[in-house]
Amino acid sequence: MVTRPIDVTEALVADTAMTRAAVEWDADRAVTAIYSEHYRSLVRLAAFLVRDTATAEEVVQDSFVAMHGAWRRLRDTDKALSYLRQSVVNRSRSVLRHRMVVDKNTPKPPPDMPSAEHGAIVQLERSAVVSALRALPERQREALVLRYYGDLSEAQIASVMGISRGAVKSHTARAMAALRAVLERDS
Amino acid sequence: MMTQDRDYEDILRRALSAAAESIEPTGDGLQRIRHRLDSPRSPRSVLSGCVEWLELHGTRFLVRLDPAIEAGRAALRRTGPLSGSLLALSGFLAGLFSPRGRRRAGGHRGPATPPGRLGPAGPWLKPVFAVSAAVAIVAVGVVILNHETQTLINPANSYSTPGQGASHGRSGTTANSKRWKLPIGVKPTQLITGPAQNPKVTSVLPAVACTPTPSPAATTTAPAGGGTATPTPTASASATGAPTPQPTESSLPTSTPTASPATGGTATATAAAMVVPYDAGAPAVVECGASPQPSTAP
Repeated sequence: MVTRPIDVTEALVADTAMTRAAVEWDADRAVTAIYSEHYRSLVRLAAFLVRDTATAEEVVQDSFVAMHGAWRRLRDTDKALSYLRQSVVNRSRSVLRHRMVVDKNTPKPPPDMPSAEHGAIVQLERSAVVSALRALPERQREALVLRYYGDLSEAQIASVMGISRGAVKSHTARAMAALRAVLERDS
Repeated sequence: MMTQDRDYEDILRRALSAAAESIEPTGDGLQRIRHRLDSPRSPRSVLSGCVEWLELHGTRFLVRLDPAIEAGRAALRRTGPLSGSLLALSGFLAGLFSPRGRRRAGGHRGPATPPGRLGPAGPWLKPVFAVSAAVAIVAVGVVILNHETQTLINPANSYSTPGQGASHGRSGTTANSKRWKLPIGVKPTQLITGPAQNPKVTSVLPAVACTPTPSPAATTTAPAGGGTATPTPTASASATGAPTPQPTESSLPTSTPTASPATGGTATATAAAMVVPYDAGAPAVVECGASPQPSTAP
């Protein structure tokens, strides 16, 4: 019986290829699993931040694509979910920043021609609380949404927003004070 | 107050949940994600990926090169004024590409990073700068080290002190004079005119002593009665074996050697002493008027 000598390089290449395939397969499976479980909540979270459902969906889909690319590092559903939340928050900030620049440089549409976002915004503004939330600064709004919609802890919010826990507390307290003032004034 | 806060928190929570219920994403989200994953990457994304890779590995390369860079900077410091601008440049580049500088620019805050000091072209300019700076620093270090090594290994390039010359087995002044180079700042005319006019030369020339020989030329070098004494002190004094000629009252001292037959031996002795290149095989003592014969020992 003739045994073929094992080429170390060949074995390494095959091993690497198998690992890569396994990682990709894992990433595909993870995307599907996390999508079915968290996609909707992530879209809603993004919709609170960017105030537009279509943009929120795009933001979340981009985050899923990024998570698929970073799965080799993550390899864990919890880490992936945390990565997704952080990515959604960061991309929402980018969208708002871009929108601010666009709004500054484009003429406003006439009042009789509502924009495409108008319907989604009206839906969100049905509640006085949500409209008061819209008036808050960006960081305070993020802190409140992650705290009272996402039910995240202070540590998780700090991780997602990239700030300290003290800053999270400060943002939340100020946001609540502002919200209360607005609601008391309206009532 | 606490109850009121909790009330507001509950109100906010309920309101957010109610508002979120009204937001319903479209059902084809997963297909869109898969389509994005399967679609070929755009050239822009490929370029940005390459830039990220270059940035990452350029930084790693620089971190690994850090000891070499420090050594090069130390060598530059030793070289003197030439290194001032290079030091400043290397310091600027090191600050620009150091992890601290990158952190200052906000590079650790996730995907949305603001452009650094280089503007929007920074992401691809930085690795280019990093690699070129590393190459330049390494090249300068290699040149400096090469120069230093040549200076240390090949002493023939610089003037050798007595006892350091190497004998290559070739005899004769012609072969030696080809290898012999003058030190920087010493002109050949200074060597020929002798130590009387250029006292500095005496410190670099090999010491040649003339022993008195009873040759006829030596006897003719006595100060002539005419009184044209020539102050060529060393050779004439030793050649004649007489005391240093003191100019008489009537003599007019001149600094140039005369070509008179009375001083012919003197001129010959001086020229022979000056032209002889010093070699390890050369005799330390040369007779006046005789051409030096370096030894041909291997």
